[in-house]
Amino acid sequence: MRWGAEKLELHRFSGLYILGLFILIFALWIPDTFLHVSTLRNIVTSQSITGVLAVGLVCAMAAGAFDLSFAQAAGTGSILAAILTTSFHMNVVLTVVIVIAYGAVVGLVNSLLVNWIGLSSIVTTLGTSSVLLAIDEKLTNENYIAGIPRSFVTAINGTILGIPEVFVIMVAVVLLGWYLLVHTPQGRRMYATGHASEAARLAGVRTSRSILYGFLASGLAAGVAGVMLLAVVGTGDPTAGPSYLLPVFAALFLGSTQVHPGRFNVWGTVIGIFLLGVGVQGLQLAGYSEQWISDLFNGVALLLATGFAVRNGTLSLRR
Amino acid sequence: MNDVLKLEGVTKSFGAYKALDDVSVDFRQGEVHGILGVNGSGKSTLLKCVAGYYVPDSGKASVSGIELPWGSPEAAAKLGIRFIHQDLGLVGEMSVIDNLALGTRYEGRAWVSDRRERRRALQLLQQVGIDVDPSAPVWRLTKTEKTMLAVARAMRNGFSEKDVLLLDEPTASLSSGEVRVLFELLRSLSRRGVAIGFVSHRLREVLEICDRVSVLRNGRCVASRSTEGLSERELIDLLVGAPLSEVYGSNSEPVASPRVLLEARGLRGGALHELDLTLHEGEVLGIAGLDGSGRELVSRLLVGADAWESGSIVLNGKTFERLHPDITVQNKVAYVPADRKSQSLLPGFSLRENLTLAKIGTRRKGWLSLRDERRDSAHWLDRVHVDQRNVELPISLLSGGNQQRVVIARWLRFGARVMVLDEPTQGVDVAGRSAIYDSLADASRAGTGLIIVSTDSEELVSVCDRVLVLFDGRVALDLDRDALLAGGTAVLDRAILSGVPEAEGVTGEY
Repeated sequence: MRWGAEKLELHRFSGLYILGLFILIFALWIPDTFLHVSTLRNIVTSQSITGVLAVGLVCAMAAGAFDLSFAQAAGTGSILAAILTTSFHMNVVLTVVIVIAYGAVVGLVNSLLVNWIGLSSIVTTLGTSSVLLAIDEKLTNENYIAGIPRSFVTAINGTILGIPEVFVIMVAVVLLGWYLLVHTPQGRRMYATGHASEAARLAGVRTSRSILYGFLASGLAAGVAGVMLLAVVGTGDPTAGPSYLLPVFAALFLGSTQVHPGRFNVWGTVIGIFLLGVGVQGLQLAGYSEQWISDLFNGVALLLATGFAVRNGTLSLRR
Repeated sequence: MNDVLKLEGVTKSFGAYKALDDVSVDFRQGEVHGILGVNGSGKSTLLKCVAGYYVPDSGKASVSGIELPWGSPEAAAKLGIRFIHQDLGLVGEMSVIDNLALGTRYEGRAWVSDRRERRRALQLLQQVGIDVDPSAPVWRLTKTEKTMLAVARAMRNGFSEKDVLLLDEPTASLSSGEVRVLFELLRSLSRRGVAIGFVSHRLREVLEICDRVSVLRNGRCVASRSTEGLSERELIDLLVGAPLSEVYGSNSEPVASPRVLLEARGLRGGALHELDLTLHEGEVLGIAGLDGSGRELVSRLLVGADAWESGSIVLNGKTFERLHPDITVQNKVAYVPADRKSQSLLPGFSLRENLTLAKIGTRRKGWLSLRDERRDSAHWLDRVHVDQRNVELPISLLSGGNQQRVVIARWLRFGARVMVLDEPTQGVDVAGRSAIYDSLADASRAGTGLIIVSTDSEELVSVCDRVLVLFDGRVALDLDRDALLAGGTAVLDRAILSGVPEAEGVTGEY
C-alpha cells in the first residue's frame, strides 16, 4: 500500500535543489573563497541563532499565535545575560538558567494576555515587544555593555569536536521542535488550533493550552537565542534583537512552502534558513557585502518562494 | 384590490429535484399575504426566484402589468420589489446609520455629513416605530429592533402603492411578543398600500395578520385563499396533506430500563426556555422544532459549546452547572456540528489528521507513530465505508457525505458513549445518507446514545426511537416509536407546526 508521497518530490523539497544550485553557482563563481571550511563555519554560526528563534516561532505560529515579540525578547535576553555576567558576576550555568526562565516568563505573559484578556496575538506581542525594548533601553541607557567574561563566551561560542557549539544547540532545538510538533499529540493539537480553532475546540482540544505552549516555546527559544547572541557578538548590544525579526519570518514562510507545504514546519524552516544563509554569505564573499544586498536577497527570495507556492495552490497565505 | 406582483406557473428544479412545480401566486395592493409550507416545500425558493437569486426553469412574473425579467435583482428593485432576507443582511459592527445606507446610499453623495445622515436615520426609524440611537452599532440592538431596522432600510426610498415587500421568515428568531410588534408594522405598511408577502412558520400569528395565505407542499401551491374562516386545524391539514385520523401511540413501557447516559435539567439559554431530556444507553433521540423554537441551540448547549443561563446537565452521574467542549469530550460525549466546514473539519488537513483529532496517540507513549496512525485511520475509514485508501488526502477533496463519515469515524474511534449530531445529513446525497445511518445504527447497537437534531422529518421518523418536539423554547411533545410508526412524518410535522398533539388518542406525557 502506498501512503502519501514521502519521497523527494520536486515541489516539497524544491528548496534543497535550489540550495544545491546556489552552492554550485558560488563554487564556480568564487571557488577560492567559497569552497573553504571557514565559509561553512560562518554560515552555520550566523544561522544558528536565526534557527533557534525560527523553531520557537514555528511552534507559536503552528498554534495560531502570531508572535512579533521573539526578536526583541532575544535582544533583551542578551542584555540581561550581559548584566548578570558583568555587574553580578554570575557563572555561566546560573546566567543561562535565569535568561531561559526570563524567556518562559515572556511567553507566559503573552499567552495570558491572549487567553485571559482575549487580545489578538499580533496586538499583544507588538505591545510586549515594545515593553521589552523599553526594558532593554533602560538597562543599558542605550550603550553597549562591554567586558563580558571570557569564560562565558568560550563556554557558549566554542567548538565541540570542531563543530561550532551554537550549531549543536540549534540542532538540538530543531530536533526537539520537530519531535514536539510532529510526534506528540500535543503538537497535533497545536496545529489543529492554528488551522481551525473552533473545530478543534468542539473536538475537545483545549485551544488556550495550545496557544500557551506556542508562546512558551517561542519565549524559551528567545531566551536560548539571547544567551547565544551575547556569546557570539561578545558585547551586550542593545539594538541586536530586532534585526532577527525579518529573516526569521522570511525563513518561516519560505519553510511553509517546503516539506509539508501549507504548514509551518520545522524542517522546511531549516531549509529556508540555510537557503537564505548560503545566498547571503556567498554574495558577501563575492564582494557584495553591503547590508542592503542581504536584505534585498532575503526579501526577494521570500516573495518569489511564497508567490510561486500561492500561485500553484500549495499554500494559502492570501487574505 | 389590484394585483401588484403576479407569479404564473413558476417551476424550478435543482437536478432531479423539483423545488417549485407550476406555482402561481399573486400579491395584491394593501394586502398581507402569508406563504406557508413545511421545510423543503419550496417557499424560500419562490421568494429567491422573485428576488433574482434563482432563475426559474419556466413561468412568468409581472409587476403592475410590467414583466419582471428573471435573474436580475436590479430589475426587481427597480420595479419596486423590496426583499428582506432571513439573516436581515445587517452588519453588526457598523452603526445603524451605516446599515441604513448599505446597499442603497448615503444622503450625501460627495460628502457624507454626520448630521444630515443622523436626521434622515431618525426619520426612518420613527417611521418603523423604533427608538434606537442611530450611532449605536447594530449588534447592540435587540432582535426585534434589527428586524425593524431591516424593514426601515427596505423602505428607505419611500414607498408607493406599487411596492411589494417580501420577507423570508422574518419571525424565525423572534418570540411571540416580538412577532406581534413586527406584524403591527407590516399592517401599517399594508394600510398605506404596500403589498406584503412573507414566509413564516407561525400559524397562529399568520392567521391573525394575513389577509390571504398560499400554502406550498412539495413544491406545489396547494391553496391560495383568504384567511377568513380558516382555522389553524384546517391550515395544518393544508400544510401536511392527508388529514390525520389514525389513532396512534400505545404508550408501551420500555422493556428494561437501560442506563441513563445524559440528562438535561431545566436547561435555559437564548430562545430555549426550558429543556429537560434524558438519553438512555443505545437510544436514538430526535429533536425537532421550527426555526426559533430553540431547536438550533440544543446541540451546542448540550456539549457546552455555548454557555447556558440556568439549569444543569448530568453526565456519568456528575452534575454540571456549566460545561466546555473539552469536559464533555472527557466524559465521552461527542459533537457532530451541522456546519462541517467551519466547526468540525480541519479543512486543509489530511483524512488521517481529521480522523484521529479526538484521540491522538498511538501504541507507544511519547512517540506519535505516523505509520501506526495511518494503519489505524485506514481501518476506521473501512469501518464507516469511506472508499479511500489514501489517508493523506486532504479532507476537503471528499464529498460532503464522506466528510461526515470521517467525522463520525473520529468519534467512533474515540469511543464516544453519547453522540450529539446536528443536522447529520445536511448536504449529503441519498447514498451518503444511508451509509451514515448505518454507521450510526452500529454505534447505537453498541450502546452509544444518539441525539439527532434535525429539520428533516423523514430522517427523524426513520431513525429515531423517540422524538422531542420543541415549541416556543420548550419540549411540547414526546413522540415515541409507536406514535412515529403509526403517524409517520405527518404526525411529526403537525406537532412541529402547532406544538400540540391534534389527533385523538395521543398518549404523550404533555
